[in-house]
Amino acid sequence: MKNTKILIFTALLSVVLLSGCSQIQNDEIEIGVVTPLTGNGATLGKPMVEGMELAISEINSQGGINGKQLKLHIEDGKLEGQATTNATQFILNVHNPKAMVTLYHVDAEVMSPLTKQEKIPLLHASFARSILPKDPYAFKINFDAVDGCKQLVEYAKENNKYRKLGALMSRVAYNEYCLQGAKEVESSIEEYWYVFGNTDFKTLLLKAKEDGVDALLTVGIDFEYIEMYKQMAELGYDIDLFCATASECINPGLESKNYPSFQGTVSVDFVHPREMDKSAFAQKYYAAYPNSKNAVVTYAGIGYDAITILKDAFTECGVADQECVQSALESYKNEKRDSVIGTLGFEDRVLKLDYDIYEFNENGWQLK
Amino acid sequence: MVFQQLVVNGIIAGSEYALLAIGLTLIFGILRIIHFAHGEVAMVGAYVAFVVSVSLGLPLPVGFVVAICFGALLGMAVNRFAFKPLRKQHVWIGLIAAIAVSILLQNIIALFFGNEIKTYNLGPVEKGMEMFGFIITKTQVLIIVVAVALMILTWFFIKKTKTGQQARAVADNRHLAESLGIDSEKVIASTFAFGSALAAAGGVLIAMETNLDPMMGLMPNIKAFAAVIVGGVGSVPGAILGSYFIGLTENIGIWYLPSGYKDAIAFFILIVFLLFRPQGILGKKKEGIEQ
Repeated sequence: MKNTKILIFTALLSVVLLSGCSQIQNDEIEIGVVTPLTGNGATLGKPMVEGMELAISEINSQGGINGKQLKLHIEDGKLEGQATTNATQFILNVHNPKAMVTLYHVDAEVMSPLTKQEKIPLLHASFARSILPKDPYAFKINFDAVDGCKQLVEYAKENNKYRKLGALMSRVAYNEYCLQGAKEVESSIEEYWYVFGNTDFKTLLLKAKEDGVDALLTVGIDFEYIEMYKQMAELGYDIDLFCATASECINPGLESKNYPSFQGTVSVDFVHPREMDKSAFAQKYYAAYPNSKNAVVTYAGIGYDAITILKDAFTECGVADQECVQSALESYKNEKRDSVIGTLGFEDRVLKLDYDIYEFNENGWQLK
Repeated sequence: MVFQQLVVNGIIAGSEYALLAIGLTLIFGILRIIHFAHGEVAMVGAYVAFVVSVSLGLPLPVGFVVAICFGALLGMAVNRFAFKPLRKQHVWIGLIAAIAVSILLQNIIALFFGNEIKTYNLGPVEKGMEMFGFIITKTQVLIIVVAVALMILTWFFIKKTKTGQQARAVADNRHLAESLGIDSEKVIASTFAFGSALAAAGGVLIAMETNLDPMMGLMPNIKAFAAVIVGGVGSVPGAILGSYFIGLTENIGIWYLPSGYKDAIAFFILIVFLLFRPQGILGKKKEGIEQ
């Protein structure tokens, strides 16, 4: 008799707890994000996640989406394939998210097969387009290496900014796409490739100098840019850097170094690299994250906009209708013009952005 | 002009590898384990000097000395808490422990200092000195000079000190050395302290050249490991020779080969040696086979 009572009590308790769990699940829309929060790449990964958190807190404080709160599940991918795979599988298996977001191309490459299997959108802030043909649920939400580098070299060529152009690049997809865009304008480019993570450019710079190269095109990450500028200054080579994007190339942290090699840098960006720091969004971001004063605010903006785009799609369709969400994202046009990074919506799942050319002089970045 | 610059670039890279390779080969010689956390010990040393010189505002040479002392203590702690309890286990267990220590140290530093790149206050970046057809900065000269000085110190430690002689005895035959009254655990601890102090010194010098981040020790340690194999496992002169051989071959090699093969050159050399001369340049054949 006593055992029967315990059994009934346990069964009732289980029913109550399980119904409670399902209630929590119904009241929340789960979004997963895997991006480096430690190690190389965290400099951009952290502000992107903070931008997402900021957008989610605003949406939730306004009542959420159709009465449901947004919930972000964040995992550190460390810019390592295995860690990113494990983190993605964990979020997919445990939290059943309605969308996944990531930053780097290398992370998106390993996440894409997993999110594609679940038929959920993968918003990735990659510079390269190579995932899109393989994954119909993937959306690219950042600078486009082909278009951006093409415009950058076009400007440099028209304005005689180089005599002989070279490319100092790590062998990753965004640089290959950048070179592809550049070669649409300039067919003769000397190529100096290195393995991603390498920071000793002395011999490559010497090779470029001996080849008569006077400008080097690149897309890099902060730790690469720091060493490129430093080593060019130390070697005293008169080589200019054409880099993408401006807000990453000479970011506020690097600008304080005041290397002589900064002068003559030409870049491209979809936001003004310095005005962005003074924008209303930046003030809101700094207020929420006072320790991120030197962060690349553009990435907080990308994270913020990623959530805004998903919110609009979920609001239009409801969360359960995956086909509708997919279609809403594909046809997203941002008619409200409320984007931080100034997007006009998706075209072939590539976020369309307006690019401008910037040149660095003693007064900082100047719009050309 | 070009050749001189390539040689100097190779010597700078080789000096950085050598500072890690010496400690690696000393530890391998005595324990037969690959100390995968050695690069992270170097990284911690670099951050200790950062705290002393940037956070506390003391001169960088003071930070350098404190980093060496801290590196020695850290090496002893790693040996005591990670390797000693596993001494009787299979060598693979030691290897896994080393990887665990490596990840632990990276994450501890990331937790306290963040992942952002940090720099020492070395003043404004200026063009290097031009001499004999090449350009070299004062920091790079310092790296080479300190590396050579520490190599001489290591030779003195091994050949002239009692601990060094005992370390050679333990590396040669631990059981025989113990039967002669040598406290092998004490010798192992001293070797860890010495090797880790060298790594910390190397970490500070590398950070002066390429800045600080929690992952900074990873690639130099892999190159140092390749240098140890190429030079001859367990041989300190071999580790030094292997380091300069790899540094020079990488830098001269990419002048003639596509530049993307820079890292591949080091590992190609490693494979060639493993296939055709596994004992390395200065290693003895019998040791190579046993190892």
